Amino acid sequence: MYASVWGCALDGLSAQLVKVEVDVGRGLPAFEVVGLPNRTVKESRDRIRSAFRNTGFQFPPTRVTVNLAPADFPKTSSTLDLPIAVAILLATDQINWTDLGDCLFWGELSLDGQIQSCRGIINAALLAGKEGMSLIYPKSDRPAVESVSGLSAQGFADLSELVSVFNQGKPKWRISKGLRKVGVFQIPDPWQQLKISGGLLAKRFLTVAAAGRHNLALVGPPGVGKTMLVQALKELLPPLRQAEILEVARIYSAVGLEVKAVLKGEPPFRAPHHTVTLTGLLGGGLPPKPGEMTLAHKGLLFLDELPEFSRKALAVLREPLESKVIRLSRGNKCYYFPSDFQLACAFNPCPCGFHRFQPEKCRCTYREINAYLRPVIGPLADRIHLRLAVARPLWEEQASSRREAFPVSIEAARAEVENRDQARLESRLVQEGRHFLRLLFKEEQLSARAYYQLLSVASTISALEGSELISGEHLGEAWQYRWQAAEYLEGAVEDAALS
Amino acid sequence: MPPSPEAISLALLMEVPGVGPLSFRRLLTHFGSAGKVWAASRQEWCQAGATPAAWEAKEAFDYTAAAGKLRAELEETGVSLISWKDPLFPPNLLHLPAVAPGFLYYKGDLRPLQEKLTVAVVGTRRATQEGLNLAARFGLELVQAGVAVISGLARGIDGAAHRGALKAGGRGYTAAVLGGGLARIYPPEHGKLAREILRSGGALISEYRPSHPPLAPQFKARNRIIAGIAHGVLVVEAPKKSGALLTAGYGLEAGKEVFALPGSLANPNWTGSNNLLKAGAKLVTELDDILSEFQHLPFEVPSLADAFFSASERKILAAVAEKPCSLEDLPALVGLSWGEAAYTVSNLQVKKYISVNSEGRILPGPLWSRVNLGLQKGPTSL
Repeated sequence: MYASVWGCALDGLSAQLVKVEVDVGRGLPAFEVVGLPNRTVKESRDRIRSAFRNTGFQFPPTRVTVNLAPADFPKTSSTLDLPIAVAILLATDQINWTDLGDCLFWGELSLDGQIQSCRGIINAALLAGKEGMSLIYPKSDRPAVESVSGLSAQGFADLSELVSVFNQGKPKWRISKGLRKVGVFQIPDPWQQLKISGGLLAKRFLTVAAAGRHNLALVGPPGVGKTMLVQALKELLPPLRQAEILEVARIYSAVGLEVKAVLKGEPPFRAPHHTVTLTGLLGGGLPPKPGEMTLAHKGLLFLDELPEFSRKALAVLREPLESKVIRLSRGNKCYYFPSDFQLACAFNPCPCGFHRFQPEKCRCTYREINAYLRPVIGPLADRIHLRLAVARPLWEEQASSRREAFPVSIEAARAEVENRDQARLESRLVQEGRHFLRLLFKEEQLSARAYYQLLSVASTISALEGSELISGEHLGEAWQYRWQAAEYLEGAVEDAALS
Repeated sequence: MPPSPEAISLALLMEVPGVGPLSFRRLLTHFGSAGKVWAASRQEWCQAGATPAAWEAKEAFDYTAAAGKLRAELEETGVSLISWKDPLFPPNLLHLPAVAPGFLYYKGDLRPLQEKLTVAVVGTRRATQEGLNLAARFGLELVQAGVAVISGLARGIDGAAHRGALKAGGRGYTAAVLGGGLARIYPPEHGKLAREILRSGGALISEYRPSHPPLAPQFKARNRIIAGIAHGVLVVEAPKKSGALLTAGYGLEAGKEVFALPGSLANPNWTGSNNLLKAGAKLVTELDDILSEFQHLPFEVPSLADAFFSASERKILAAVAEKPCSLEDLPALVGLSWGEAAYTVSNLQVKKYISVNSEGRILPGPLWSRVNLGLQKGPTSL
C-alpha cells in the first residue's frame, strides 16, 4: 500500500520540501530508500524499526520502498526519520487521520521512539511558514520554532504521543507569536567588566568601530592586549535588529550551532584559528554548508594573527568584504551565502613581534618581515578602514582615562550612521573640514577609496558626538586611525615619518 | 662619456695580482701616471716599493684584452669611470691621506660634489624607529638647506637618510657610495632606492668595476670614501661596534667635522654615538648645529621660510618639544578637547611639522626646524 507525507532536507541554507513516498508491498522483508539518500538517511531503517517495536507499533514484515522526491538533490538530513516513519504508519493503517497534506514532519527518531532535535530547525520552520504548512517538530525545539511568527506548529516528545494525538483527529496547532522584543543584554560598562582601564585611544577606536561597523586592524607587539580589545569590541556591538535575527539564526541552525543567544539578539562572533581551511572559511561540501565568513554574517569575524592565515584564505576574504555575499557553484546549482560581516584582525609587525616597537629584541630579517606582511598589506589592508597600533600595555595610561564615553550611545549612533546616505556625506562637511580634506589631497595624494573611507569614519565619529555635520575635528580624529601597514616593511618607515 | 685611457690603466692596475691599495698608491706617487707604471722596468718598479712578484704578474697581464673587456662592461652597464686627474673627480678625495682611490666608477651626476657643501649621514643597519626617523629628518633638512647628503645605501640609517633627501622632490642632491659593483646593488631591496637617487639627479659611486660582487671587507673600505668626499660626517645612530664609527674615524683622520646625535644611555644602539660625543664630536640636536660649523666655507645656505601657528598648535608643539607623547595623553597635557587635539595633530602631521610613529608617539617631524623659528617669531609667547 502507498502513502506519502512531506518532509524537508537542507540544501545550502534553505530547507527544501521533500515528498516522502512509501510503498508497502508484497515480497521478502526488505527496506529500500531511493532518491539520493546519504548514509544517514539509509540508516533510518534501523532507527525506525527499533522505534516502532519499542512504542508498540508494527513494522511491516514485507517489502518497504521509500522514495524521496525530488530525487535530484542529495538528502543528508536524519530529520527525514519522522516523515518516513509516519508514512509507513499511514501505509499500514496505524494512523486514522489521513489528512496530512499540509503537514511538514521534521525530526530524528531515537531507538525508544523519542523525537529528537537536529540541525536545521529554523530553516524547516521558515520553509513551513513560507509554504503555509503546519510543522510537526521535536518538543525540545519550541523556543526556536516560536521565533518564526505566524507559523502553525505542534511539538511532540515521542512517536506514540504523536500517533495518539493524530488518531483523535486534527491536532490543535499552536500559532507562534514570533520574536519577543529584544531585551537589553549589553553589559553596561564593558570596560569595567574586562578590566580595561586607560587606553583612551583604543577605547575611542573600538567605539567608532562598533558604531560604524568599520573593518579594523590592530597591530602591535605580543602581549599588549590586542585580542582583549577585540573581545571588548564584541561586547560593544549593538544587538541584532529584529529583521536580522532570523537571517542569522537560520545560518546558525543550518550548521547545528546553538541559536539561543542569536534569538536574544546577540551578534555573531566568530574567531577561526589561523589554520582554517578555504572550505572552513568559504563554506563547502555537498550540499554546501556555510563557512566562517557566513557564520559571522551581521556580526564580527575576528582573525587573530592575520599574516599566519594561508595566502589563499586571505585572498578569498577580499571579495565578500565588498560584495557581502559568497557564491559557491556546485554541480548544476549555485549557492549564495550571505556574508555581511565586520572584519576585525590583529597581528604582530613581524614573525617575532617586536619589529619597530622594540627593535633591540627583534631578530627577524628583512626577508622574513616582508614575507610575513606582504599578504596582509595592499588590497586587503585597503579594505580596512580603521587601523590602530597598540604599542604599550593598556593599563599604563591611567592619567587620561577620565573621558571615555561619547555623549551618544553606540546603538543610537549606529542607527544614525545607517540612516545617513553614504553617497552624500560630503554635503555634511563644514568649511573647516573641507579645508582639511584639501590639505590632505595636496600633501598626501589621498586615493578615492581612502577619501571615502576617511569620510565614512569621520561621519561615524560625528554621529557618536551627536553632531549632524562633519567637522575638521571629526576628520582629524579619523585621520589618526589610519596607520599604513606598509610602514612595517623595511624602508617604508621613513616615508611614513615624513608624511 | 668614454673613460680616458689613464682611468682604464689605473683601474686595471688595481686588478694586477699583488697590487693592493698601498702599493698602488706608492707606484702612483713614484711614477705620477698609470701609463708610466705599466711601462716601468723591474728595477724601477722595485724602487717604487712594489714587489718583484707583482711586476711579473703585471708583465703577464693581458692588458689589451682586459681593457677591451672593461670598456665593454662599462658600456653595457652605463657606468662611467674617472681618474683622479679628471676635473669631475670629487676634490675632497684628493686630500685623503694614504689610501685614497685613484679612480672611481659612477653613475649619475658628480658635479654637485664640486659645488655643494657635503655632509655624510651614516649609522647602524639595525636601527630603531627613532633613529630612522631622525636620519630621514636630517636627510631632508640638509638638502633643503642646499647641502649634498652622501651615505652608503645600506639598510637602516643610510637608506633612511637617502630617502629623506629624496623627499625634497628633486631639489636636493644625494649620492651613495657602494661597497660593490654598480651593476650589483647591495642590499637588493634598495635597488629601487638606487634608481630613485639617479632619477632625482643624484649619483651612485663605487671603486669596484660594475660586475664586482659586494664582499664584506669592501664595505669598510668604502667608508673611507664616504668620509673623504664629505666635509662633515653626521653619525645618527651607532652601537658600540659600527661601520658608522669607522666612517667617523676616517673623517677625523682626514680632518673633517664629526657630528653625532645623542641617544639614550639605556639603549645599546646609541652607545657608539654617545661615545663619539664623549670623545669630542659635536652634539647635534638641530640643523643649525651642523650648518654653523661650516660658516667659514664659501657655501650658500638658504634661510628657512617662516612658519606661523595657531594657539592650539603652539600648545601641542610646545608639548612635543618637551617630550614625545601619545595622542591619548595629549588632550589632558595641553588642556584641549579630544577633537581639537586630534584635529590639530592631524593638521601638523600633514604639514610635516610633527610625525606620528608606528607606535602612535608624536615626534618632531621633518620640518621641525621651522617650528622653532615659527615659535620664536609668533605673536604670543608660550
